[in-house]
Amino acid sequence: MISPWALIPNLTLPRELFCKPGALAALEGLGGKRVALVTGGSSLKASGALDRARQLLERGGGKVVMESVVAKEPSEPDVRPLAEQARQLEPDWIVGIGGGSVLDAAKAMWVWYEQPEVTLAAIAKPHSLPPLRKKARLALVPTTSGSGSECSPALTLNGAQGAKQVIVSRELTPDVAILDAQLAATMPPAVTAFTGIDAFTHAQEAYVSPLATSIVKTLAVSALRALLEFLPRAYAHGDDLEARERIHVAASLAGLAQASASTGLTHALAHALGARTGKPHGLLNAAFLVPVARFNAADGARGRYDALAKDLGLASADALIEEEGRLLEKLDLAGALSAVLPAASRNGDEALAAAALQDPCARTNPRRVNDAKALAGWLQTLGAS
Amino acid sequence: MKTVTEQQFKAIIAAVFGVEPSVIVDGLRPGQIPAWDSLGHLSLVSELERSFSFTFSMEESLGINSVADIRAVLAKHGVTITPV
Repeated sequence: MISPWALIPNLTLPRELFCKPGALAALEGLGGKRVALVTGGSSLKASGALDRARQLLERGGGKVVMESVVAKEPSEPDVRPLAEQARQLEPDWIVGIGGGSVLDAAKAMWVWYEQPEVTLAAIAKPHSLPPLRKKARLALVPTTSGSGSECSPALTLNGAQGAKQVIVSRELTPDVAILDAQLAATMPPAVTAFTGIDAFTHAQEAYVSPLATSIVKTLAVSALRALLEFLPRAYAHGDDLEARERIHVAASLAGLAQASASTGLTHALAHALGARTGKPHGLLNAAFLVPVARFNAADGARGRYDALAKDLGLASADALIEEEGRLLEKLDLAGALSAVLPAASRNGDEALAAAALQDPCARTNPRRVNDAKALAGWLQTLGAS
Repeated sequence: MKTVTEQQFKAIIAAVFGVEPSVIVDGLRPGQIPAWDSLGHLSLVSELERSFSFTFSMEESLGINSVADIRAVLAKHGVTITPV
């Protein structure tokens, strides 16, 4: 018997979501007495935002008892020592400020601080994580506009051989999310493009997912409209705060959409190829976004793409896919496919295809894919084109 | 009214779970094959809705606890499954 909770489409949300340029000031009202900060380090420090965060927490009556810097996508061996340190210092709030990797590291540290005995294998099944919040609560502040982790019930860890391990539980949805676009204004253009395309892919794949509901589609369309218009602006003019704010919010909306309806084959391929090559997740999404949309729209799922196009004010799936191609050009990502594919497509690469099909995202692709040989053949045709 | 053969009925379910049609027997229940978990269940309902052009009520979706239950829901919606 499957739990009805797992079968009824749902959306978990942070208890409080602060959203405005300058919203970092909400940290003052957090109410934490002993705070563990998890950050990404240098750029946050250089901008003065880290000092400001400390001041705000202290002005609110809190003491920063622990600071951890996360420099890369976290793995369990990276995070376990942080959790052990937290058990000694006993923070009552964990505050993550940074990109998606930092936010996921804060979540993972929280899990093993609260539940040191749980193993990754034991929580691999969705919603099997034991209750958190017995020791601390979680506030997340994204400084990139892409992962949506600040609103999501999921965390991604690097597993063995670089394979991604995704943990999903409504327990992981943060208590507080703070969307302050000023913090994202210092993102370099390439990071803006990569993270923005990640958000775009979350929204598009969630919309066409078999699990999409009306609320998912509403969130996704809102995110996609904003990203189509404002992502190129933020890429070209990093100091355009209006564009920064719109894509910052869009990334969270896209994160909510994908948290409810999951993603599809673009993400499955990006995870599989990322594990092998270490190339940026956003670049890999940029590489497969248009080919996967064409692949899906060619058979069975065309109606979903036509509906999305209509919701975006475009004539058809074909027009939508052309628009995506133009977006990639504006972000200097039109060559992403050729940048990543030679390694992927050599001799059909059935191992890569099989790894992608093992990824949970492949299961919610709107066109059913379960034949590694056929998928490898398709990858080979991409390499040849 | 829509009519499918037994072979077509099993092929639809087998494709969702990525297994051979011979695995699809009336007594098969969620959890007995790895792919029939909560996500697989949602995919199954989505695929059945697409294939037979009707929408499962939430009660019907939650009430499916075996392949035999799927037959019952399809029959209720006027789908006939013929032996050949």
